[in-house]
Amino acid sequence: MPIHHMLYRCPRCGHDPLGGRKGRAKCSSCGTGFQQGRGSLILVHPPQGPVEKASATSLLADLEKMGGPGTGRERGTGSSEESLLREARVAFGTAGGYDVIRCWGEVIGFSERISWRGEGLIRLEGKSLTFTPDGKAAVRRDGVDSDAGGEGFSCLLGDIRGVQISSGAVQVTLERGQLYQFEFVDDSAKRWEDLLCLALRCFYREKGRSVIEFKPRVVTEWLPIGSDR
Amino acid sequence: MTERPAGEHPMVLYRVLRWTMSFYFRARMKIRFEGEDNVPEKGPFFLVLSHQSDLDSLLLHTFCPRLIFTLAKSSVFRTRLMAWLAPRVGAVPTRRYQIDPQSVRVALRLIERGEGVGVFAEGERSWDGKLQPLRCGTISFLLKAGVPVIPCGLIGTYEILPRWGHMNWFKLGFGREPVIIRYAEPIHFGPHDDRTSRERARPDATNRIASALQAVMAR
Repeated sequence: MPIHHMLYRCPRCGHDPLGGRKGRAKCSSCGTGFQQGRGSLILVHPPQGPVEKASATSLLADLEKMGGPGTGRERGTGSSEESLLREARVAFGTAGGYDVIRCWGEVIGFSERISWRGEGLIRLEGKSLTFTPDGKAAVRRDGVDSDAGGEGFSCLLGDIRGVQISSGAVQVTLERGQLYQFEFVDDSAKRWEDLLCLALRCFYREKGRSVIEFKPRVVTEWLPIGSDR
Repeated sequence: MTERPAGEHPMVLYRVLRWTMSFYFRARMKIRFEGEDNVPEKGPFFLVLSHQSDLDSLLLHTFCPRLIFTLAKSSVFRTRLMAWLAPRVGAVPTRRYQIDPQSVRVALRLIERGEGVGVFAEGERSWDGKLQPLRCGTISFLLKAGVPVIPCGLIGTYEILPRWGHMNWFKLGFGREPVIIRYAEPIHFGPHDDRTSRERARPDATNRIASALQAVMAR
């Protein structure tokens, strides 16, 4: 996966997003470059001065200090819970059946068949996630609701059953078990996974629950009585 | 696989590839093995690993003292070639976006047959080389099987091929990167046949496995 998927904003100045390709990324604001060095070291090229070596751990820690994937609103500093957190262009696919994997005549498992259907816009708001394929409008009601074409959806975060990153794409499982796979045209899949997980954490915290894990399905438990919601 | 009793399936392709790949990896890396005696010569066991790199499963399948089967994400099997090849070298597909009862059944069948099964308990590769939280379902599954759990660490693979990076596969010879494959002593959790017992034992089992993985990953 390209380095700018992991470093989705500049760890030096916080500029968002950080552009790049494959093993290199460059901040369009401060001009700092990031490049895979030997092994897991990242070479940081400041606009002036010598090249520095940094680890992924330290750069990810810097991103976290700058607010991680969020905008600050989800941490209670925004004006409205329903305020837009983020939207992005995506190529999307849905799971349409399975391929059976056999070995010496025995069924040993299944592999989902992803049918790529086109592009659209994914939009995360305070408590909901909406996906609108190009040329189709998603209908917003309570819970999961598809558009006339059966491809878009708008759902409350509580209707998301699982979130995970897989092969550079984000997979979202909805209430009825539908699997959507999103490949981001000009955004980072890791950021979207982190962002969705953060939004789900906030959503459930308001309901007095904490999220134990997000994959293969979202599992929550009650927060202890008296804990800060 | 089922037609043949335990230990008698030929897995010829697997053995040939193990032999071939061992030359490649030894030319590419400086590999050291520690605690291989902890892997039983026969009988079922689970090998639990922390997932740092794409190289982990390749190295494990090549150098584990016994033939090992590992649970691999189902997207690996999407092409015709991989759908044919991967199961013949010990990979068992698992759908990661849902609880996959078929992969659990197959893994338990392999355990019943006396095989070793490798599991990446975090469910995905780490971004920064640190141990991630272990999956609840995986721990319950290990408890259900009730066989020895051997924590295994592959140290150095993250430095060669991190999740966010790429590797020069043709680089051989001098300047070989060090890799340590370390097996810890088996952990015995005992039988946990019913769900309630597994639920009760899960937090402690998670902590024990996580600490053992931390220890085995230490340099």
